[in-house]
Amino acid sequence: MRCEELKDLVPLHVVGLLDRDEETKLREHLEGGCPRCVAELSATSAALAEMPYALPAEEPSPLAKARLMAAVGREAGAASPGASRRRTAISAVAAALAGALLAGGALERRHAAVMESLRSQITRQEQQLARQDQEMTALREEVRRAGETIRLVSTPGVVVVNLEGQGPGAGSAARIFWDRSQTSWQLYAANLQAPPPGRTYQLWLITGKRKISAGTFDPAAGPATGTVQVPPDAGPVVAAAVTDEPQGGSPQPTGSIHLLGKV
Amino acid sequence: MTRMQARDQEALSSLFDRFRGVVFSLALRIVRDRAEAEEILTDVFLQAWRQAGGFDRSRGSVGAWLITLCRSRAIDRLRARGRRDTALDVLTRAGREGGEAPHAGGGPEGAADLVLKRRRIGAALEALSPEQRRAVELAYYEGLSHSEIAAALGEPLGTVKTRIRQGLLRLREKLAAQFQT
Repeated sequence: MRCEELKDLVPLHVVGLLDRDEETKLREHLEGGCPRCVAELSATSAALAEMPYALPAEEPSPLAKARLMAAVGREAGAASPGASRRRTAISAVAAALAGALLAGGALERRHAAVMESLRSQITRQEQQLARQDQEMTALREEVRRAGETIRLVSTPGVVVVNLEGQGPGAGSAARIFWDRSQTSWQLYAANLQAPPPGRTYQLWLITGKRKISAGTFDPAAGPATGTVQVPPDAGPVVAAAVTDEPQGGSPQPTGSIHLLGKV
Repeated sequence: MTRMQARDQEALSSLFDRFRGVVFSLALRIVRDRAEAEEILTDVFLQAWRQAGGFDRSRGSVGAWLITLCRSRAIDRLRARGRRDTALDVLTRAGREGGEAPHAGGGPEGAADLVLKRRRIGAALEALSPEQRRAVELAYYEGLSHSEIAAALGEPLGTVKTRIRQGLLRLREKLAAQFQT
């Protein structure tokens, strides 16, 4: 077949309409590098590739891009586990999702529904995380206290004082672990009612000469802890007592005694 | 494309934004199913990403390359699923859609650029006779064979071949002439 005839086959070749025989002949000719037919092929292909621009414009869902970038990210991740590439992929997915959120009105309803369900899923997970954070903080505090208790109880020379309910505190009881060397104490109370409104419980260490404040506590908050300095000239501590005092505590006991015990 | 060849995902992202409209419109026109057209769309860009190294600018523009990849994939799917409409259906539909005007620009490929492209191809297609245009569209969008097109148009095989050849040549000439002006 002559070049001129083959050239005429090019338009049918680009739309895939040549029969096998013609196709083979044209391919051989093109692979032979005939400049005129190669130019013909490239010009016809280029013209044909303009055709879709005459179509009604249609837009894909933003999720299509998210899928593409995720697929590319997976490939990049498999080829080389470079974090930056994954980040790019993830940020592209995020951008596409954000685009989906922004373009909500224009989206098909099912995509809007998908985004809505994703959003509420994120909200639920955020709430769950916040709850877990709170639980974690509470547990840490509990562990800290338990550690403190173990330390106190196992310290040689720690003094254990048993207190019994008195007057308004009748029926209650408490135990104090008092580490003289570290000046710290812990108090565990049982059946101790909340203090009268506007008042607080205060622990006192009593010597022959003085009543020394060891601080205030709230029995509702669990085991109470505090520190106390007994001045060397105060003499030996003989007893411990709990009174109710105005908020913030008093320099010397003024209210009723609720608990009392000998040291 | 140089950035794509350097495995820059941002470059792929930009390329997608620039050509997603025309590629998706073409896929949708061929397979007539949004979900399937979206699959083709992502497949085309995934293929472009994988084969970016083999892209040769001297053989055509990136857009033309993507469009060629898209058409070939979409036509393959059309044939694979055996859902190809009868020649008569195609003809009825082609007639119905023949006068449909493309939406006004606003696409992602640069609105001005897109409007210009639409105007050029629109004018070039106008220069074809209705028979030429229909034959070219049946071949390009429906992937029909000679004999199917002949049956759809009720014309002899030789006439169909001539129409397509002349139609494509005319399209080329018109597009080239617009480039020169």
